[in-house]
Amino acid sequence: MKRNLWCGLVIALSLISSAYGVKVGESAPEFQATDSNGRVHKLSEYRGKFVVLEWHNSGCPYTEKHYESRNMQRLQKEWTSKGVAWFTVISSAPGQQGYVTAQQENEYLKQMNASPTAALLDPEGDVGRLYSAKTTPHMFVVNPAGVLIYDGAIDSKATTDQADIPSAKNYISQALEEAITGKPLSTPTSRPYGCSVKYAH
Amino acid sequence: MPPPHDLQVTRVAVLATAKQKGYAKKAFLLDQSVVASHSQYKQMISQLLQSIKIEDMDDLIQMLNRSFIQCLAILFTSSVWLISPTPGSAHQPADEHVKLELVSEQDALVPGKDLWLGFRFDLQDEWHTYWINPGDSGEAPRIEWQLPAGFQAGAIRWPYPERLSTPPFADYGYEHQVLLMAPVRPPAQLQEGETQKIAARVRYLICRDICIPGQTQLELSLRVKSGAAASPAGELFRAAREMLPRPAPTNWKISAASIGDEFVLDLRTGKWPKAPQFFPLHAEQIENAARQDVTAFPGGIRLHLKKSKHLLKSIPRLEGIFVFASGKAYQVDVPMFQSGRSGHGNERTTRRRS
Repeated sequence: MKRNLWCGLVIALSLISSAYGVKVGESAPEFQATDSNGRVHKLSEYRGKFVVLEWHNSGCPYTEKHYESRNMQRLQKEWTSKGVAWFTVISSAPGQQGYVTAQQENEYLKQMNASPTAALLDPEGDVGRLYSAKTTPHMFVVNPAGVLIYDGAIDSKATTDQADIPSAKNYISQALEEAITGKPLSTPTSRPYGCSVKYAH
Repeated sequence: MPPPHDLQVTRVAVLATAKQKGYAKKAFLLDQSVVASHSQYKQMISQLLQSIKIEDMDDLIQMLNRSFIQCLAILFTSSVWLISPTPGSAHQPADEHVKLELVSEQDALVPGKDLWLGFRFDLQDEWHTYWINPGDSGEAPRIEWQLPAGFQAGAIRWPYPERLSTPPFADYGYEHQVLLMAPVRPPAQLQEGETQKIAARVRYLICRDICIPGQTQLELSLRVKSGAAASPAGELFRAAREMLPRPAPTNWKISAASIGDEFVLDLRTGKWPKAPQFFPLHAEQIENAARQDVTAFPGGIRLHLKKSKHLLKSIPRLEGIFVFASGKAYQVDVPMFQSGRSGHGNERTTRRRS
């Protein structure tokens, strides 16, 4: 009897865990989140466009690597100018590193000269958990049909050293370039590197 | 603690007081970090406040009470000091939380004979660094040797890690102390009596709730002798070796198979070892935080490992380590049997608990 209960529990847990997270090649789960200007965005509103999701924590040294070097801002500018929707997502819980109010985020964007389509505030971690966002930065690319086509790191050099950026393979540019020209992605997944996302405990 | 909209005012006031009272270095680091993070800034303010002496508190409070304009004036007058850029130093230094040392197992170099050197991390409580596969976040330490001509260093031996759980994820790393050791072979033709300097640059990441990267240049000078004795650090090496994964005994049979969304790892040892845990050598092969269910069969156990959702192709081998409740760790490097079945967990084997 006890054994049956135990087996039931194991199966229930495994069902929960397989429903959890997203997988490249499958539909990117729908989400709704409010940006730093109070506007609500739904992923489904962006059907027909490529969408980039960038998990962000301004105090994380890996995020700093890509912002202080202006690498992230350059990518945001380049791809939004080509019609890609770019969302910076902040899942740090209140009291945790990287948590910001809408006003603080707007100040940060201005100070950093960052230009994502919008910065989504996710202090409850709902969008982060829905996507199983592990690190900052952790990057996702969704194609115009709403299918997740990339899940992983921003580039191939998992360090905090800005000097590594020029020689690293940027997986976001690579994924977008390949997808736009109809090629199969050479790197659809990679180990996202960085600090852990500071979810509420 | 002032409300968040006063942060700018507080920032200026704290900086000015801190500078006046000889905390310029801390204040500088603090200001570098405010540029990057408001919430981290709050944490650092509280740290700074703790380090300010009681008699300085009055000054600080007075300054906090001054008007915003005055504070802005202070900001402008000290702006050169405030905004001078120092990339990479935006954080409190990592070495406030970890002591790093290069140690030798023996007290001398013997020409042509392997010598074990180790990088000892002594971490403050709550901080950790990472295993060769750091798991879901973080980064393993990287070592660049700077050896005298003719010297050769072997690979780092990584003691088994602990699973550092931050649901829904998990990292693999070390808390408190760890010794990362490697053999170094000096050339056979060295002059006895001379001193050789061995150096290395270590880059590492330490994390608590926040992460700080660090890098340190370490050196060690050793005399060349015809024979060597244990150094005072010798005991560290003996203890660290206990934590190195050893080859599995030849009478054990280990096999791995890919079944649906799992890898199953069968370990036939003749008994049921307690609390086995598997640590994969490579990233993104298994879901690091997933429970590793154990089922027992006569003469062995089966570990169920959930495949990483990042794994899009089959893997030819499974490499990693087994760690048991006994504190012993064993190497695993076995071919992956492809079962040919696929699916999402609706065809699992019947489970029996050990």
